[in-house]
Amino acid sequence: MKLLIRYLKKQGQSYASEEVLVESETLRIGRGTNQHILLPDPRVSLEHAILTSHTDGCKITTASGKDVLFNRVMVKNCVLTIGDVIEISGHKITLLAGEQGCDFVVQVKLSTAKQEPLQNRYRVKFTDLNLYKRTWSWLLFLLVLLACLVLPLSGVLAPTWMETLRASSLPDDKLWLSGELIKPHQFIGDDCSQCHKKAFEPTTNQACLTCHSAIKQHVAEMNITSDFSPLSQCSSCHKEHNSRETLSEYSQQVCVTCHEKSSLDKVNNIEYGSATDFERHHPSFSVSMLKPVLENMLTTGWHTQRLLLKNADTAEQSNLEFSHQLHMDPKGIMSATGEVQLACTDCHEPALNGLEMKPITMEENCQSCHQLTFDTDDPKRVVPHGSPAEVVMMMREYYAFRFIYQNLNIDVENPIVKAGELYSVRKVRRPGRDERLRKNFEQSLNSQTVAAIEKLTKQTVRTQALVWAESRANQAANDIFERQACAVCHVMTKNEEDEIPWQIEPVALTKKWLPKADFTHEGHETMVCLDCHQADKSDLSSDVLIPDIENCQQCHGGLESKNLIPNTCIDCHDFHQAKDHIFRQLTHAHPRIKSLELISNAH
Amino acid sequence: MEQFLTYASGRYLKISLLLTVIVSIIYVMHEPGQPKNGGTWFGYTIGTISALLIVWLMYFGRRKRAYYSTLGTVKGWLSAHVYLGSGLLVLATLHTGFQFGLNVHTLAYALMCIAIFSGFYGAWAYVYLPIKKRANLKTISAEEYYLSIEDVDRQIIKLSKELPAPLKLMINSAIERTEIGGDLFDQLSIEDKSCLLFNGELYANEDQSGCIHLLVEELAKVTDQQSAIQLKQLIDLFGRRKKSLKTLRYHIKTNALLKLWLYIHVPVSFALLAALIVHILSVFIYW
Amino acid sequence: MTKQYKVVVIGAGPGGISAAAHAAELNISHVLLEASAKIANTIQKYQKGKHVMAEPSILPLRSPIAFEAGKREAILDEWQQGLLDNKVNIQYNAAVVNIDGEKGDFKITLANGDVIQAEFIILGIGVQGNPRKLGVAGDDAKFVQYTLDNPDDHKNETIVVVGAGDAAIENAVVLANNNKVFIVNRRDEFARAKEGNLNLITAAIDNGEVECCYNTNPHRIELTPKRDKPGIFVLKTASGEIQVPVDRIIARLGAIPPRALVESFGIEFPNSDPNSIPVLSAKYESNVPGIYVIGALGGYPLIKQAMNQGYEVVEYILGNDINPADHPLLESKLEHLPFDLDVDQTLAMMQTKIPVFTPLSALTFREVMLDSQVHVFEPNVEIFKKNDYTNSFYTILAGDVNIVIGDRVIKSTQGNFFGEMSLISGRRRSATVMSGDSCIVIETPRRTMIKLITSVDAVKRVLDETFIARTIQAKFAPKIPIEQLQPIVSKAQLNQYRANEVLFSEGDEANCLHVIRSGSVTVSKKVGDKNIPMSYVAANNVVGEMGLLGNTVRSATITATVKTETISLDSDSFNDLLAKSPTLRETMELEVKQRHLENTKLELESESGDILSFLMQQGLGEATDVLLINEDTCIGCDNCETACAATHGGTSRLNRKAGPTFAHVHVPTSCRHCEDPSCMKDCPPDAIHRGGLGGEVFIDDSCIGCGNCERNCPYGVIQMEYPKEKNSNFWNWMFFDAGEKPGENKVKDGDNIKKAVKCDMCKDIDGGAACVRACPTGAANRVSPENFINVVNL
Repeated sequence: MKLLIRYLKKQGQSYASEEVLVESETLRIGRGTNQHILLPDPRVSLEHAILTSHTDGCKITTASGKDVLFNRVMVKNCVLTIGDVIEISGHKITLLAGEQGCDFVVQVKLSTAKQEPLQNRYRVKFTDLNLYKRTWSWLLFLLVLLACLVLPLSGVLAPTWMETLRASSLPDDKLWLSGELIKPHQFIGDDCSQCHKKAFEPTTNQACLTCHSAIKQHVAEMNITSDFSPLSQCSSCHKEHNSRETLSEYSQQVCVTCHEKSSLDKVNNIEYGSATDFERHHPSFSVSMLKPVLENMLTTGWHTQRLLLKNADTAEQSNLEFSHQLHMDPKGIMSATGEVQLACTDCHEPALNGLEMKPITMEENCQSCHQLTFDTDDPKRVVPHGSPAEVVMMMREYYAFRFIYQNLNIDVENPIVKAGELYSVRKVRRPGRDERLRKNFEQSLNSQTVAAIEKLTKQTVRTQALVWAESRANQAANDIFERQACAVCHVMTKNEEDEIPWQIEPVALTKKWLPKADFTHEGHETMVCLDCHQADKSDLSSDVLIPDIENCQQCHGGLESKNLIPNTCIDCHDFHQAKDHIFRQLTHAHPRIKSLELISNAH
Repeated sequence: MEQFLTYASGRYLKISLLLTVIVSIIYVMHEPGQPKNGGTWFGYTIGTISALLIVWLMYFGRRKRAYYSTLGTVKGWLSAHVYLGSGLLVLATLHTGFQFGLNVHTLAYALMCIAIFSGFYGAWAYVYLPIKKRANLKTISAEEYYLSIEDVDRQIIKLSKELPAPLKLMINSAIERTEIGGDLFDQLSIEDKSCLLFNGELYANEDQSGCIHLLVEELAKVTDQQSAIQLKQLIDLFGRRKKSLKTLRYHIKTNALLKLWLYIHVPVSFALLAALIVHILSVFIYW
Repeated sequence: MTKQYKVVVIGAGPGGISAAAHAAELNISHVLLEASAKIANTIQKYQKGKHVMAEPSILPLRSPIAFEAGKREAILDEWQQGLLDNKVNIQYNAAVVNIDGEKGDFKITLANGDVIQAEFIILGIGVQGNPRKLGVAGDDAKFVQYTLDNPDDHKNETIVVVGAGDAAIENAVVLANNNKVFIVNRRDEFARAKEGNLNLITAAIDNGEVECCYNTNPHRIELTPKRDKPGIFVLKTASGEIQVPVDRIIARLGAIPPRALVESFGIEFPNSDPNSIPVLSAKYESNVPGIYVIGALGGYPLIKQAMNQGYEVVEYILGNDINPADHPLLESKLEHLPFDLDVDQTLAMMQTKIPVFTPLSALTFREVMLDSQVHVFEPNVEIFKKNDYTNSFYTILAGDVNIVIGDRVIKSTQGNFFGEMSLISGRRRSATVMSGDSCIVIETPRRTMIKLITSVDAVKRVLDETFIARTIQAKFAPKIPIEQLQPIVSKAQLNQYRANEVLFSEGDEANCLHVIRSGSVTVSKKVGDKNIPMSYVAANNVVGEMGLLGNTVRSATITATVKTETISLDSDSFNDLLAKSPTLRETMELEVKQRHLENTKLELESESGDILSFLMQQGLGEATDVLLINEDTCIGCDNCETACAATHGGTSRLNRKAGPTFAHVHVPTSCRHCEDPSCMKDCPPDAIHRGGLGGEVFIDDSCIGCGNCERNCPYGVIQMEYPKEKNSNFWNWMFFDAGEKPGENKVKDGDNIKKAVKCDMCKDIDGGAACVRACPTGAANRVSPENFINVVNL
């Protein structure tokens, strides 16, 4: 269409007009210089609106976000008929009837309102950016609060909801996890409530004990008093969520806090000395030993006693006579097979990783040399290592049959001879052992001997034989009990009234000297036994060969020790006494000694 | 005239240093019988100190608006805010015991670090930007630059009246389409997005060079004395326009930089506050 | 025929109205002549709806015309009404051009040629003078006005502003926003306009907002009631006549100061000082018998005073010797005095006993006493302390006082006065004064004294002499009694220098030294080819002694930074001063040394010299305490402004952005608490005071919002502001953006008046200047000129 644009410019009091002819389908209106109608005003946008022809008039279409004032209302689009006026920020544009062969005359009256200062026309101030600290602050604040507190907390209040939370990708109380669990605990998984039972309450021991039911308390219940409280909480030593391998730092401090003052074990009322450091402040060792319980000079039982090693009168009462010095004579010692040189390990074999030694037994360790012979004419003949009654009975039998054997002519057909044969061919056997064999013999003896004896009774020798055997046996018993074999090692008592007057005092060898600590010989292999145990100088069996602390301290120091092996409490002492089992028994009790019940250590 | 960093010859710097050193020493010394973390007695202690410190640091927002307060001067507070805030970095780090993970506790720590480091930037900005700003403006104020541009524009329009239409339109467009300031990124980047229209084509007009170039070409063409002088003047005017614009762009940038960092510092601080609350609560909910 | 009246009242201001009305009451033949078309021209000029105060409130009103504080319009209506009720014979547009004859038979000639005969004349024409008329045919048309009440009243009008002064320009520019505006300038440029206004108008003309007609004169005005525009303004241009259809013509051609007129009536003024007022008797009678002067012209700027005088003067004319309205006030003032005399006797006694006041007319003295306080002191009470910023003037009515200067105590006895040093120099007190035995002193406020000095030469003379004598004594010869100094004093002279006037310049031959009495100077040295200021010397200091001591040429140039008064001593008298007091030389030489040191401080740094001169250009020479901002540390947070607003009812007294900058020093628009504050000069209720130790200049609640101080302040640091609401709870804003930001209080609703606000140096806020305390980077500092050096040397 053809349009005549008439600019009315304020010139003094009147208006001067300036006309431009435009031939175009659309008429562009804006601030841009490429516009048909140029409105030099920053409030007008570069391309503000376009005017297009419309049924008997024109149509105004504004650019997005812009508008024009038409009939005193802001409109985006509007249809103009002749005479209509639109206003763009004060600039009036009037549509008039066409002249000079134009479709329309568009009259533009530029408003001369004062122009804004430059800095208001552009956004040059920071405040023009409309950024708000407050808004952002609230946004972030609430966001964090919602995600990290409200949601997880709602879960805490409603466990089922927590499940859904954990299932979903929504934040759950995992956000609160302050560190990974240790491996053994990881099976617990996400469920914090396993241990954290109540909000705002520290985890209780019960939580731990549900699994660790077997664990022993450091001290017996009756010892727990208020001042033990720190240790009565598992969590006071075991800190979870530190993403480490172990739960607790085995720091000396934990022990020292209590043990820097001496403590009393109410159960066995033992007073433990105070200790803060192995090197600097640790009581010297006390050994736990068995003391015979005597009734009119006879040992009827044992009770444990703790004795300070350093006390001179600390002596073991095992009712056994043994001299290490003698046995370990470097010049060697006479044995069945001649001179031998004994080493510690010949008798003491470590067991349980050297936590203790295998039990010492007559059969295993002594008998090779100490054979229980009783008749010089018959040096192969030995008595069983058993109770006196057995020994005596055996000897009676022996002599009885020996008499018979000697006083009858050899008649091979004679059953007695056969019985005697039994004796003569009997190889030396360990008396008291090989029950089966002996039983058979007794059977044979009973059936045949009785028959023989009945036969004999018809003969004259019967009485003589019994008397002889009896006397010889007594003689031998006297000899074996009081002078030879038994008396060498055992403490003997004699009571004339008894049918068999001799008694052997029961023997108990201490198995665990230091039950409160775990010393292991393993790792000490580099050393020689004698470095610690002065066996070669010990003549009496009452000597205690357990070294005192000074000995250890030659190599072992406290935690901060520079030149020694640093050790902390739990290197030797076990807190929960998890190892409190069989090998804490004080003794290898001798199976033969019926009167002796098993004595386990007091803990 | 001392400024906030040297306030009272760095009193708070000393305090903060002392505090951090002492705390660090204790941290190295103490053996809690467990891995060092926020849960030990010492962990709780520095944790509490840090928490209180954070609250106090955020109170600065109030103090600087408490115009009646006689409790020190805002300068002094800012000095303390900066130095103790820096100290917080050490305290809080020790409080973590260097145990980090994907959890709210580390979130709080991270937010704190952001707040503190944005703070460091702020301190730097407050010290150096005003000097740059002043150096840039050279003894006259920004307003005067704007006025001078308006003045130049007026003269340009006047002069351009007699020029041939296309050139006139070009000059108008050059003035119309001069860009300065704008959204955040425009303000921060000092690049000139101005352009101009010549014969209906849009050309870049960075530093008015496009316009000047065209005018120079025109100048080469013209023959008569009169218009030559006019063009020379115009060129000169655009030269001045360019200078002022350049200066102002830099000025706008510096201003923006001076303010912008606070829009990170403050919101993050509030986020931190939230995280801190959660941190404390959660630790005790799951004690 | 010429009309004949007993009393002719000239000027229908408050005084005139009241006088005429009272005359009417008493049925005395009278006429009230008003030059303009309305009564109370001055009040008409107040902005629309302005609240008018009735100060001094204690003073009872004595007039048939009612008056109490209220809106301008209300008061004017009331007065109109009053005139009607009392059947006052008033004649408008009757400008008096001449008076001759004497008491009983005056002939008064009006502008329009009429002559009026009168027995007595009451002159109440005020001081504003009458606006210059267009003086063309038809300039009495309604649409011709000489003031602009409220620009917003006019929209879409065609307005012609006539004049090339600031007023005209300001009107034209402000009207141009909503109207079609022409400005008519007789010449081809706006020569008389301020720089700022010049830019405004040229810009406006360039943008075609204002149509300017240069070299144009108003020719005539034609009324065109028929057309949509009420009239046509015909202008004569170089190129012939042009006709402008107008809605309104505003003529801003300045005013004719009344003094010339008044003098033409034969009334004498004591001196040429523009502020001086005619000599009047106790009954307001001027030196011309039968002509009475009342109101502002007679030195009574307040409405109530004027009205009372109007009443009283009529009574006096009738010969009734009534007590003036202020009588009870004086009574109460004097009652606690130990002598049983009535008011007039006491006043008389005072005048006889105190030489300074003797030359005053009873009326003037009465006026002085109204403002003054009479103190009866116990012995050894501190009247004022050294370095106080108080500046009132004391005279000893009885007993004696002890003036403590350093370790010396001078006794001053009955009739003497003290405190004139600070009064004149506007500086801190130079000595402590303790009351002696049975001591009664009269304390006269500075404002009153200044008025006195300007209007009564005798007083000025006495004060000046004493000032000189005491200055010389204090400065050079403490040990020597005043009497012996007389010869020197008589030779000493008082010099006045305009701002930037040179006292003496480097290289001159040193022939005298100057004691700066008021104002301040800079010491500058030639470095290369330009003068670089090196230090700033405030009042009560000595310059030029270096030359005299060395007896050589001047080592530096001394330039007055502001209007400065000095006392100069020639070398001879200085030498015999040296002779008189042997120790003087040493002390002076010491001073010289220090000066040398200070000078060298700057000598290296030429920039700091520039900064110093810049500061001086900003008129900081007359500052006592100014807010400076170090641009190198200012982060533009505007916390200073907010602090100021927050602590001062939501209106900031300082504008950080505004104001000039040089190098790193920025001088924001805020009060610099001038030595001799221009704002104080003309404050009707005397609401502007100088504080105690701080020396802050502040405005108290008695401000009536007249805006004089705003206009008088050369630095534009006083604003007229509506009172504002107390601010809402801080936390609500902080967290929820509820209520106003600190320092952005809402304006109180209800019709309050704009009052003047300015920096009061936070005198009521403990901790001191909020702006400085609120600056996070320490960029804002309040500095007193003595310390400028520290500011500029960074």
